[in-house]
Amino acid sequence: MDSITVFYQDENSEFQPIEIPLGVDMSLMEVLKGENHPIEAICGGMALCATCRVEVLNKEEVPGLDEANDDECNILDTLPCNTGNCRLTCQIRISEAIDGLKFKFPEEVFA
Amino acid sequence: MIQTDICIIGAGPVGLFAVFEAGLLKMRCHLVDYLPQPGGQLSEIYPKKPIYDIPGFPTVQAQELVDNLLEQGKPFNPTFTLGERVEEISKQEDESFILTTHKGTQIHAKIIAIAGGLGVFEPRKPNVENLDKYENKGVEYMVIDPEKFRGKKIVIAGGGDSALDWTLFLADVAAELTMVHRGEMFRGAPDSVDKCKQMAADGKIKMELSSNVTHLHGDENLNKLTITKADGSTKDVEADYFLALFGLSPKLGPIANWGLNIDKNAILVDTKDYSTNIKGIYAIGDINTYENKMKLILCGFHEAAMMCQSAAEIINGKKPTLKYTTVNGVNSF
Repeated sequence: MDSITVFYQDENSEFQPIEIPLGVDMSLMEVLKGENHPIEAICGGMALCATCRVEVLNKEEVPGLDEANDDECNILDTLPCNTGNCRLTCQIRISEAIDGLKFKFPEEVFA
Repeated sequence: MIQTDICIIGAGPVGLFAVFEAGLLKMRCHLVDYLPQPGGQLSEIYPKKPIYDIPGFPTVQAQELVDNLLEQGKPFNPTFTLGERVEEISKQEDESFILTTHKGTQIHAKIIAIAGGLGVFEPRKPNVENLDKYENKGVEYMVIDPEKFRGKKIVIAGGGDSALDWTLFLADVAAELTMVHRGEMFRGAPDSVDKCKQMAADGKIKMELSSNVTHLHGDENLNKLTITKADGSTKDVEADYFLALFGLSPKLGPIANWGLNIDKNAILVDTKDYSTNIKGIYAIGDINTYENKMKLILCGFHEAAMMCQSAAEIINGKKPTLKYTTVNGVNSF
C-alpha cells in the first residue's frame, strides 16, 4: 500500500476523494491545509483552537482511527458539536489506519 | 480624538514588533485590539506553549515572547485601545485616516497597519434551531452583566471552564439554572467540576449530561427550549435565557468591508512593502496573503520592518536612511 484515500463531503453532500501518499510524517490537518481545504488551523496543530475540526461520518467503518486523547477531548468539550463525532484533524496522523475515512467540514466554513 | 502616525489594528506579536520598527524611524504607534490584553492568539490561546522558531531563542514561551516584545517597544511609548474592534475606516482629504471602533473611540492616523491575525475572535455558535431569531432576546454568548440573570430561569450549555465557572457564579443569582453538556464527563478545572456536581446533587441546579439544546421556543422572547439526549429522548425546559458558552473562534469581521482586496479571508498585499490596494493601508502577519506566504511569526516580523520603511516614506515624503541599532542605539521618544 503506497497511499490511502480519505473523503470529504462537499456542499452538495457528495464525497470527494483525497489521495494521500503513505510515509509522510504528517497530520490530516497538514494535508488538508496543504491542499487549501477550508480549515484555518490557527494554532498550528497544538489541539488548542479547534479551527481544524471536522465531523467524522463513518467512525464504525474505520476501526483503526484512534480515540481522541485528553488534550483533544479538552477542546472538543468546549465545542457546540451535536453528534459527538467531531475530531481535530491536527490530532489524526496519516497512516493506513485511516484509509477510507469520511468526514465533513463544519457548516460555518461554508457560511 | 487620538492622534498617531501609525494605527496598528491587532496587538499580537507582529503588531507589537511594528511598534519597535516604527519607533526607530521616529513614528508613533497606537494599537487597537478586540481582546482585553495585548499578545493576540499567543496570550489568548496558548500562553504557556513553547515556540522554537524565533531567531536567537532556542525556545521561548508564547507569553514570554509577548512580554519581551512589549518591553522592546516601550521606549517608543505605544498607546492602546483594548477590548474594542475597529468598525470603520474613512480616508480624509489629506490622505490620512479616521478609524472608529464599535464603542465609538476615534483615532486619527497617517498610516494604518492591519496586523489582525485571523481576524476578530467571536463566540462559537451551536447548531440550534431558531438561534438567530432569539439573539439578544434570550440567547447570549457571553456574560457581561451577571445581574441581568437575577431571578431568571437560565440554561447554560458548554462543558469548558467558562460554562463551569459561570454555572457556579450564577447558581445563586438565577431563579433556576440548568446546565447542559454534550458529554458525560467534564474536563474543566477539577475543583469547579466537583462543585458543580455537588450543587446538582444538592438540587441547587439541574444538570443534563449527554445532552444538547436542539430547539428554541418563544414568542417575541425566548421562553422555552428543548433538550435532546444522546438516546434521542427530548424534554422541554422553561428558560428566560440560553447562555451558549462554547469558546471563541476567529472571523475576519469588519475588515471585509473596507474595500481591500481579499482572497480566502486574507488581505492581498504587494510584497515590496506589504501595502494593500489602498494607499496608506498595509497588512502584515497572518492576516495578509501573497505568493508563497508562510504564516510564521518570524515572517511577520520581516513584513513589519518592510512596512515601516514604506510608511516612513509616505509620512516624510522621502525614503528613510537605513540605520543600525548597533551604531545608533535605540533613541526613545
